[in-house]
Amino acid sequence: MVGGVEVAQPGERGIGHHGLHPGVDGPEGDGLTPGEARPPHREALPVDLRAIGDPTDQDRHVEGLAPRVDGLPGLAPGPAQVAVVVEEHCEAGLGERLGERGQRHAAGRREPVAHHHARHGVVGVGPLGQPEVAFQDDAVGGGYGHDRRCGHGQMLGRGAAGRRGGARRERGAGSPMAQHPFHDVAIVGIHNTRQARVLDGHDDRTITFEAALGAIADAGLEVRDVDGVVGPLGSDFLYQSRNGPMWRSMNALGIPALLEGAMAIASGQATTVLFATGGAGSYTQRASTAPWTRPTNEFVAAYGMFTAAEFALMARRHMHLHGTTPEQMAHVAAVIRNNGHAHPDAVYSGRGPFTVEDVLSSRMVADPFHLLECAMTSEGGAAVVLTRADRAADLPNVPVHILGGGTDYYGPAYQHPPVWDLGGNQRADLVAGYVGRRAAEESFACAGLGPDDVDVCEFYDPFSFEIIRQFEAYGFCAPGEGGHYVTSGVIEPGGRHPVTTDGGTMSFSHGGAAVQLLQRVIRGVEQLRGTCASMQVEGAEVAMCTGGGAGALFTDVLLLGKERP
Amino acid sequence: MTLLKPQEGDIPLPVPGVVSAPYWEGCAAGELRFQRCGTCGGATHTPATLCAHCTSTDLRWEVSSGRGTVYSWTTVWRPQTPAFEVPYVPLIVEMEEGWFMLADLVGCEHDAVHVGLPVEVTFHTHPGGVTLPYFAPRT
Repeated sequence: MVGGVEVAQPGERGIGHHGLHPGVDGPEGDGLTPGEARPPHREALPVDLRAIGDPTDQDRHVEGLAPRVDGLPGLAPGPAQVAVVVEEHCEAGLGERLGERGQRHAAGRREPVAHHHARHGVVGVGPLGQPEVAFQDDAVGGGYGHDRRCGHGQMLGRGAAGRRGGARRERGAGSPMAQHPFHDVAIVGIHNTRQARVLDGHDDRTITFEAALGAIADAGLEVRDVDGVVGPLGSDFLYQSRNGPMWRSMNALGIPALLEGAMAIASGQATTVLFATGGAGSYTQRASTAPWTRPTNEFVAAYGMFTAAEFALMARRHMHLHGTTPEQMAHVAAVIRNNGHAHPDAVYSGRGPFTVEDVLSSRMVADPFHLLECAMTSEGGAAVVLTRADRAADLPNVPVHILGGGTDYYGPAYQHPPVWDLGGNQRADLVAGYVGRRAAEESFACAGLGPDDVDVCEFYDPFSFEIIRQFEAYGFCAPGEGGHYVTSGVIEPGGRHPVTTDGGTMSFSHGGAAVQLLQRVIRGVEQLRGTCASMQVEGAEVAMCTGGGAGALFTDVLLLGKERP
Repeated sequence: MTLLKPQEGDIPLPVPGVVSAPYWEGCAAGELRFQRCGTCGGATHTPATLCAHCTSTDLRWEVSSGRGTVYSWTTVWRPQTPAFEVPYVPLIVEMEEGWFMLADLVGCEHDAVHVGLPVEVTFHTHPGGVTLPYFAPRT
């Protein structure tokens, strides 16, 4: 025994071919502590699943098996890296490996794993080097997305049973699966600087750095811990801190940038990634719309286009197709602005409350959007820190995990006519009016969740109609029903799907070209931590954060959860 | 009664690129041009290198009938820049040849617009020297 874990000497046995140990969860495994074992040489992998027999009634079933090393059989020492054995079961209904079970060896990750020995559980077969934590008593669930896969073929379920909507454990439905792509990632630090219409004495760099330092402090980390940066000013941050050489991304925009940082951690390119963004001092010509709303382009600029007009052309088409009304859109704006009214740090804190009539009587900007249905312009910074999930356990905040994420694009924003029916060959059944649907479907499939599981809808709200569109696009309601859906009592605080709970871009902040895109994620994290200063959704476990919109021909989706996937 | 009319102020004017130059040359000549695919016959706009329907690079310029119907619209009251006179009415027009383009409405009052309104292209040369297509209701 080494560290409580049985190990074998190199060459002592053919590690890939030993039999299953039915009693491995029994007394001889008790009292063991999490630890590491040494690997076999890689030739020991993989395992022939078909060589191992079916589960029998003699197999032991142990209650309350926690994710820990459990005296795994077959562990073997090796020269340098970590190896573990993961046993797994496959049950009826799981396709080609019907009724089979087997063992699996994996190497390369220094973290404790559990021996999975549940009679009715399933864990996935990941790529080599990715042992996974298994949970006993995870049920194979039906439900949403059972025939879908996320991009890498993984399905992930909720480990916790008893949640409404039923057990959604779906790993193993079909082909062998890898570990969840963001299993190793946690969001541990967030920070919004002060947000205001104008932040005197700041520019993009100073407010971005303030956000960065705030998020690092919130994470309980030091600047020296950062070994990856995302965002245009990340390079400045790493230079000034002399923290290089490190991984860097120039991705600037919200969820795709965050996912890139998460992937850097998941793939081992970085351990702790900082994504900071900020805007101040760039909007000075106030007679014009903000510079980020009117990119120069030969096919739109001469016609006076800017974001409100682009999104209005999408909304108008929906009104034509489905009879969506100005009152329904104004209701969305009133709800979101009232959320901001109640938020102590919102730019428009205390500026409400607003009624539908207030919204409809505000001046028209771009028909059908009145002033109170449009994003504001403001200044501010925001930042997020991600690190490895195993490290998150030692940090002060409740870690928040990425359950799924995706990005849908139909082209560059604001250069081509924003045609609702613009299609594409990847998904002939979808149009730009529902951009984000594919991303949502894949995110839900990756998480093993569906719209009913979402507790908080931190939807990006550049214009009121976009909320209606997103509820349709993501499958919360049918196409054309979004207007009725948002006025049915579901999006208000206390409703089934409360939306944009800090006031969003209409009332919390829109601090430049990119800051506000990250702030949906920050608000989702606040909700899952349970630390919202206002409009806290009690017991929130899953938050859906989004960015973009049909008028910009893109939508990004991120599913956050409290449970490690 | 105030008819919508082309913008005459110091608005941002298009700077043609290599691919789009024939489109703007057409406007200057009073022709609304689009690209027709020599492989599949599909129409493409905005000016492109690849056919939107089959990805062929065999795109040939054709002259549109200039007729279409309003697919979507908005009336703008808060201008992009002070150079624009409000209101103005950006449209997406579905052209007879099966392509979509964006331009502003002229020649009628702003509240005459609706989805399905038949329109026809009309050209206006801006004081800056660039000829822009607009759309007016078909009579």
